[in-house]
Amino acid sequence: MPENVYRPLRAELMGVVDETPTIKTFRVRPERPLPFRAGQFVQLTVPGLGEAPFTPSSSPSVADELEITVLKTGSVTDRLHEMSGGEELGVRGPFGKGYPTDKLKGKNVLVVGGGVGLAPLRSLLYHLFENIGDYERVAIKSGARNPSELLYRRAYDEWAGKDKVSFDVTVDVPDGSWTGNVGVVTTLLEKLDLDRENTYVVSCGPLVMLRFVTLTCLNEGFKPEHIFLSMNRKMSCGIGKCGRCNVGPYYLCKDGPDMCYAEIQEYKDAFSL
Amino acid sequence: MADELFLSEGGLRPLLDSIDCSRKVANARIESDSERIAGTRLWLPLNEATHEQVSAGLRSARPVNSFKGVLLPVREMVARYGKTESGDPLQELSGQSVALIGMRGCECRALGYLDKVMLGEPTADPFYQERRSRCVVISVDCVLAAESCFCNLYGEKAYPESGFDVNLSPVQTGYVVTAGSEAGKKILEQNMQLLAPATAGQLKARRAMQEKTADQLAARNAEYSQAGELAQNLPQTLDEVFWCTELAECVQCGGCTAVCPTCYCFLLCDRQEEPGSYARSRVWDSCQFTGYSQMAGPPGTRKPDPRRDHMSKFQRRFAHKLWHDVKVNQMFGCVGCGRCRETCPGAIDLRRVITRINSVRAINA
Repeated sequence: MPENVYRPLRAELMGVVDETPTIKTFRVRPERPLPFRAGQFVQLTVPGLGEAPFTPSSSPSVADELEITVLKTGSVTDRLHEMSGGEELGVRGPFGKGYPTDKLKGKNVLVVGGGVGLAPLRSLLYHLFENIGDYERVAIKSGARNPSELLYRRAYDEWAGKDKVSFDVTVDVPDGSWTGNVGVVTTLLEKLDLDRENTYVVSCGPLVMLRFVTLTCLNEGFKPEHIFLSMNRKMSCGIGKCGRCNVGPYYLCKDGPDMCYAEIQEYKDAFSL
Repeated sequence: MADELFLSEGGLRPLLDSIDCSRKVANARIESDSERIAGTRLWLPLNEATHEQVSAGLRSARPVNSFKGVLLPVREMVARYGKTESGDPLQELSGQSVALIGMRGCECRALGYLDKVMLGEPTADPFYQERRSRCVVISVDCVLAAESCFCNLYGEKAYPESGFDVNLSPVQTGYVVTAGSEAGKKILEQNMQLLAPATAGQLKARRAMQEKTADQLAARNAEYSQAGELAQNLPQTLDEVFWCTELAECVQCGGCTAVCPTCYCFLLCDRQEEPGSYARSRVWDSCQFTGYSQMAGPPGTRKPDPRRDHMSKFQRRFAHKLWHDVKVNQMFGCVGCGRCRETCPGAIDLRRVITRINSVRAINA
């Protein structure tokens, strides 16, 4: 008898961290360790209500407890945001291919995050930091709508201080106390001192941001084959059977969720909103 | 054992009854006083159909519904979780087996397609895998083609060439029978008392029947284009005006995807059975429905949906079957059974769409 991949593993919510007014991080301990590669995702079950797909934001080297950073934006995430710890959840996965970390070896990695899109990228950052010898340089560009929506703000100084790592952040709309960059995240992508041939771009954020990050990167001379985007689609099964998460002929749940721009550029609904 | 055997009409039911499966479904043609349903061809449980209905079903055009619901039920529970760990729905399938009696050439190809998707990477669908692993396929040559059949436009035959355990070719007084697998051979070996080597005359009758159906299909579809370079042509025509005239007929009922033997979309839905115990079911879904690809968003906002407009939903069905599947599955996702045309209240005809794609492309080239 094959394993029933539709049955969630029991998981306990160990704790909740408030990140921003709309984003929280949930510490989830599955009944058995759940090893994943950076960028792979899980289906998180709120019992009786349903599932939603999330890429863990924690280090892929830790399998017994996952951190999942969630924007409050729908029925499952609303219920999650009401939780405080001790609740029972379910988890299935991991699904997808994850980030192309082997391709990134020996290269510069330009990591571009927008809003809660920085969450999946944090699992990649942990992987890059833990194996920094394998990579040339890591340039992190992060944006948020306003300063209160900046995710993982407490970690910025630590990231910026790491060897071979640079970190820049911007907000669309500043408040009175903000003294940093103002503008959308693409304003941080112009005239970068990164060898175009030797740099991969990895980006996650809303579809409209991914569209403009891609346009900017192409204008800046980065190659379509070097741009990887965490595409957004409704998902259900996680194993390429239920049919709904396609971009062109690809199913994000099995071929992604990070897709190489060169592979999806010909499909006209790839960036539709 | 000869490769080609003959089964008399009277031997059909005993042979079907001998197949060792817990569930059998067969083609049946309904006789009724009601004009509305008389002559309807359906997949029915074998034990609910008379010998005459099954025999007539096998000698008629393909059923109006497809076999897929047997392997992918419209709705089924796929998991229990929470306090109740017992009663895993997957375990309940153990020991169950099914015989599909009357699979057409197009349906054997559709089954091959579903196998590719459902058993393919990264992991097999366990429910499909369980049912499929103990599934006996008894196929049949089409003696008649339905009005909307068009397998010939894909260069395919109206009889199965592979993907069956036993094939039946109806001739006047019975069937020319061939085995297509070891399991099929075994079924025939156990029924040798019903079988005799086919005579030259019976084989000639089979050939004549197959040619007659081929001629019928050729004549019926003479005005339509062969698939040909369809997969290359389709992406170049997505902005052409003819799509708007086709779209104007679509009422988004989802009938086309429901009757299609290769459409496989579903959605998982959870509910509480009792406090602390939960059930997860899957239900057929359709890419044509509003909300199919809609994602979460805050209340009162326009939710993100990459295929919000009707045209992008409409084109997705054609692009998936006629372009994307060729790219990733090396086959068309359409087998030409024509059920979508038969069920469509707007009479949207895939043959016409194929023809328009190819002809517009030819003009623009």
